[in-house]
Amino acid sequence: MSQTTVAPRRLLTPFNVIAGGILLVGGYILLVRFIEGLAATTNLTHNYPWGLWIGFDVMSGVALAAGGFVTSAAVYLFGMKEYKPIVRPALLTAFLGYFLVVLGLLVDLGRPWHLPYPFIRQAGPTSALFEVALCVALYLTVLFVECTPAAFEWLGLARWRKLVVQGTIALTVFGVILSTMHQSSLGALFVIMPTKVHPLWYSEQLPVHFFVSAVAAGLCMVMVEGALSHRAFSAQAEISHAELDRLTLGLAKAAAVVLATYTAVKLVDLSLAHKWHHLLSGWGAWYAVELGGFVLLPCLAFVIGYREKRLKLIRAAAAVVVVGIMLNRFNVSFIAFNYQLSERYVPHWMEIWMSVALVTFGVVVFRWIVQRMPILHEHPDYRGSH
Amino acid sequence: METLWDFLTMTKGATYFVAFGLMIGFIPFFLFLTNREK
Repeated sequence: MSQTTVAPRRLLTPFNVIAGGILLVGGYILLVRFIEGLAATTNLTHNYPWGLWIGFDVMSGVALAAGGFVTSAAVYLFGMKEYKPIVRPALLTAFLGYFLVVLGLLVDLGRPWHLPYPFIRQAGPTSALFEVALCVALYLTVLFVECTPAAFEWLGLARWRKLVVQGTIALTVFGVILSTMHQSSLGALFVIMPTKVHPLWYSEQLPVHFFVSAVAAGLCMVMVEGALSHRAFSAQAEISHAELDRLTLGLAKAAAVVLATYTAVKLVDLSLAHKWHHLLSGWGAWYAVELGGFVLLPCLAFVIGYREKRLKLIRAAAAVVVVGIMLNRFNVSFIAFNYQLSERYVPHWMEIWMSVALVTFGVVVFRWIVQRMPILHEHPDYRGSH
Repeated sequence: METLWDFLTMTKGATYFVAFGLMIGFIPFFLFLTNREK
């Protein structure tokens, strides 16, 4: 076993009380959902079969978990070794993110026991959803394996750790391929609904939009998660504030370039499909809020922040992008969806609470792991060996 | 008769100019971003 020991802690801390309360009510909602069904816990209808649990838990969750493959590709494939200290927390965040996606699906699907059907019963290889199912299942497995070295170090299983570490490059390449495929396939799900998604959000290039925005979201999530975990787990964090600030500046530069690229892709799409006139409508104003307030503005903030080393500005911009990516996925999946119908979908309070409970569950598990395993620091026995 | 203006406004031709403008615009953007490094 490792030398790391956990000091006895008080159980009734403010965090535990709040998280416990959220999870208890979440557990009650879970019971209601499985006893009385989706109708009792959601405002989903035949016109809106995909609501908050898909728009937030799946669409936003997968995009925000993109930080795992972005940082591991930067370090292990592109040789940017200085970012190594943020790979493990990014991979753990990504793993928990995808795990929550699957948990969210189990709650949302009418028949959750059909979840393995694409693999064992009806493959449907021509379906975009099949590709999403296959890639998410495989990538969740890859992320689990990528996270195991920290657990093996904690458990003192050196031989197992060595086995996994030897496959780091292969796992990273596999992870990049799978992420590219399913991040874009989530957009492809809406390509088959040209009459339902508003033209400003609909595009034949939606897979490209989803992929590029996911890369930006992943980078920003790594910045937000890095700042929060460095503050919350300062005892476990090995790198100094100055070092974290330096890495954040590099991530901000990358995020500025990706957001600029995303803006260009969106503007080219407006031109390509002759959609400029839609900007003059009410939906156009909402689109301008999304693109201007949650893409261009943070992009500008990243540029200024990077040039003038203003870390607070960068972190605020990263948080805005995280909210922005959720707004974009909400727009595509239910706000600008069925825009021609008078019927609107507003999430039930239980849907919102369940989503908050899932995130809380992820934070509790992240906290439990970080306080025990070498995630924010290197294990003394394996220093510099991975 | 179809003029160049028709081509630019009624077909996807204008997009080439939009894309070209965005690509050219990226150069000063990137130079401004990386100015500190120099």
